[in-house]
Amino acid sequence: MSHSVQSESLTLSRYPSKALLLFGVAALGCLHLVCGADTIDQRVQIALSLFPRIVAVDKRFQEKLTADNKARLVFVYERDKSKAVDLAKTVGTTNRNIVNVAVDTVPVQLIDQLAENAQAPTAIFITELLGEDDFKQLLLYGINRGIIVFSPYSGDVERGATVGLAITSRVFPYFNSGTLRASGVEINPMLLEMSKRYE
Amino acid sequence: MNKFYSHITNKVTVFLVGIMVFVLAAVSMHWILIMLPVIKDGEQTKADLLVTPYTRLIEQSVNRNDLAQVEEILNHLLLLRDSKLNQPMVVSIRVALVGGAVIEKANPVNSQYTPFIAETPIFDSSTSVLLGKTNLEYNSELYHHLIDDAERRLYVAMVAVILLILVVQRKISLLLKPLNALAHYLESVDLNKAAAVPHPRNKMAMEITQVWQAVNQLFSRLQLRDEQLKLGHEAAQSALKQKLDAESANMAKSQFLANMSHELRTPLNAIIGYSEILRDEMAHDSHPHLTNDLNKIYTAGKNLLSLINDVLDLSKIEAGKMQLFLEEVKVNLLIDEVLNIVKPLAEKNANEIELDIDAGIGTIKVDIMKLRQSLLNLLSNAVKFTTGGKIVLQVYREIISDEEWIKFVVKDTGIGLSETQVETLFDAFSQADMSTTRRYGGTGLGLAISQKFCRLMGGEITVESKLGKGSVFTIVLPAYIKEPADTKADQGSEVQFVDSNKLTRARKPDIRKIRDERRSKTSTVLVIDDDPMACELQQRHLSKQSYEVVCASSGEEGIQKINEILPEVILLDVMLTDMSGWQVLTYVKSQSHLVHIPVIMLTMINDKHTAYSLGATAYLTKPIDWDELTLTVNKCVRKAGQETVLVIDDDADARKLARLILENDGYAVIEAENGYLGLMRVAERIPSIILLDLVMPNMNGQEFLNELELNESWQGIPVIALTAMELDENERRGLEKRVSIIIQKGIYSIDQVLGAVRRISSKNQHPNTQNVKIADDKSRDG
Repeated sequence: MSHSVQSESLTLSRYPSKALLLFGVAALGCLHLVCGADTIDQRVQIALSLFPRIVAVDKRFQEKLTADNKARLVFVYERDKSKAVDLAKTVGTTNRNIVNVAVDTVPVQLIDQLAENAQAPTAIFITELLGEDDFKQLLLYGINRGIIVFSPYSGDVERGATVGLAITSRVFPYFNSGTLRASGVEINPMLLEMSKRYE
Repeated sequence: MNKFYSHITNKVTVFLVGIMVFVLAAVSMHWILIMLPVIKDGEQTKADLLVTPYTRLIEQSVNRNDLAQVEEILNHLLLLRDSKLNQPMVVSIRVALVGGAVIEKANPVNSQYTPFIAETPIFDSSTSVLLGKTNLEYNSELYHHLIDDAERRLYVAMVAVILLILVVQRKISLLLKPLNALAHYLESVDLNKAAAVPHPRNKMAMEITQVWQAVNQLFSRLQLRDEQLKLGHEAAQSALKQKLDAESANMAKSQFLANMSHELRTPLNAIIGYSEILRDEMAHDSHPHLTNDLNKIYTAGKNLLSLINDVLDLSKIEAGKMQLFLEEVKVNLLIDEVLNIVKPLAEKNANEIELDIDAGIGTIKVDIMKLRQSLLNLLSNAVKFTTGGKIVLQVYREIISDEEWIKFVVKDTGIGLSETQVETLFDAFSQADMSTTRRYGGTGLGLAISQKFCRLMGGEITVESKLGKGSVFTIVLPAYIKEPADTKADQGSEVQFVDSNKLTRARKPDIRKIRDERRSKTSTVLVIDDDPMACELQQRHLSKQSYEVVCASSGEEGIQKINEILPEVILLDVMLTDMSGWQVLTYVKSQSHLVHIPVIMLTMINDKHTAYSLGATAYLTKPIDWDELTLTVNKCVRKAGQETVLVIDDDADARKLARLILENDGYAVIEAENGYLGLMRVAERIPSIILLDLVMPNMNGQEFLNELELNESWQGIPVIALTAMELDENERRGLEKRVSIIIQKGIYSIDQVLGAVRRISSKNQHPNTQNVKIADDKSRDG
């Protein structure tokens, strides 16, 4: 065993450039993961303040309230419940009401939300990246019920989420025009003009 | 050089322009694709960043429904100025509320450019209700100013690069200027007067200076070499002149020697000839004291003749006029001949001679005279410088470099030679030392001549010797010397060679006696010689041989007498007073009634080739060897009326042997391989005798006889039949009726064949059939 270790170290010492290259690749990989995670978290944080405002500009917002006249904002998750709980709690804390309507922020597992007997939400916030099938099912769910499906993750608007974020030098709401039409969600045109749209 | 100069400058210019174009293209691309969008985004970001915090203030004011505060905020924004351009940053700002109210403020900016637009919604932070939007127009003058500024910098950079190129080009031109000057100088320089290369006025780069110095060094070396060449040339010219002078002197010497030799040999001829004749006469007249004196005169004359011959040979070799007459000879015969000559001298010094020769030594194609002379010289020296010792002659073949050579090694146990003596041994006129000359005599020419002869024949002589121990001389010659075009061997001098044993046996009969018997006693010999003494000597000698001798002292007289007496033989001197002997020879051979007369050339000049090519029968050199003269004249006389023997045998060796025996006995020989060819030969010329082998391919002896008997004119030809078959009585009787003599082949000897031919020849007209059978002939193996 010691033999092989010695031999390996010898090999690496014989090719310092190779070792350096391996180290560089590993470091870049880690940096990418850390930075990527940071970017996603930042997008989610920004999205949390935007999500209630988007819900508020839905012209049929009042029709989507719960039986007890509350705006039910569902934070769906697949695996990470704690994250969904944290996000729901944050939004619930900073936005106790929307357009003078009490807000109920609840973390719900995707499968539960898709169940027939699940309570209808006012809007849905995707808390983690979903697989293609799950995403499609959730999308169909939103379209069928005419509700906003908000995803802070990059690329989700392009694959059908009703709204997301477009970040350049400034943060813009980013709407999928097709999904808007399919789900019948109507957004205040003043905001729609200032937003970016995916046709 | 101008081309070189422009070439380098152009190359550098093109290279720099290329770099410039590349850099400009890269910078332009970078500017268009990267910098412009970045600057544009930067300005847009500035607008976005400007509107965002103010929107928050506006939201609070709108929530409080304090529109005056909103206006104040907008005014504040309008006051913001760019410090660099000192222009307002915001062109206009507009707040549109959901309720329909609009508040708008603008700066009086006169700009031709479209401003950047920054829009942002106004939300109620507590209820998330959309209150309205803010629209800000950001002044783009700054952006355009930045672009213009960057473009200006780009143009300046381009101009700087162009200037740099021009500077570099100029610098290169200046650098190359000394090289240009050097090239001009080298183009026009006169190498015969080449001085140092003039130094240029400008300062030069180190590398150019090195080139300059190298060229200067080259010129120095050239001058040095020229001087050396000049000296060498002068030396070569001087050497050439000396060589030409030496050659000319050598030629003159050779010519002088040749002339002197001729002049010396003419009287010497008389001295030797008369002394020999007088000696013979004195011997008959019983004057022993005079005979002794005459012997001394004769010997002295012979020695002098030998010396003159050597000198003449050497002069001919040095003049390059020595020719080779190549003949194929049996080596053992030559060796026998040489040893027979040397033996008496060896016995005189109590020396023993031993011969060690390869049994199948075979033949060698050489100039036999020169080889004989060389061998005689070595053996004579060995015998001369050895007393009571042993001389060994080894002769053997050796293959060297795929070529066959024959080595003749002469070993003696004589006085030997020191190393110094060996070094000069082969130099002409040199002997070991003066004491040697005094003690042993000789001229010191023999070895020099022998060496030159051997080299002329493509071989060499070497010597190994130890003082007091003896010497070993080796002649090595190619077995078959290639015949040079200009020394073509004389066909007439070709020697018929056979196995030595057979030849020895063939010589058993006393040929001279037979010849004497056979020749006509009334044969006439015409001697044409302008030297009356030579004429007289020849006349006296040949008269003793029972020839009738007629003399002519000039060419013209000779021709007249030839036509008058039609001699059997003509003895012709080459150097006549009125014309050359060659002219007489040409005349004889051009006349149909004279062409058959044999002409023997007698001369002191060695031009055998010319003689034979003009048709001479024989060639003898003066002073005359009387025995050789007698032999030659006898042969020629016999040839004039000789009988012809047709030898029909399929065995080539048997035919050769018969030819040798019969020709030596004075018969002309015609050969045929079989009966058919034999008939053809008979048809061409009816022979005196036919020697017929009975067993042959194509047409055998019996068939030949059948054909022969059919022709009436051929019926009288005597035939000697040779057969290897044992004939029974009937066969023998049958054959006896058809042929003159039957000889049992296989048990006959040369003597029997010759005897049979002689018997038929002598009887000729009375052919009695004989049967010769010898039961056992031990000499038959040859």
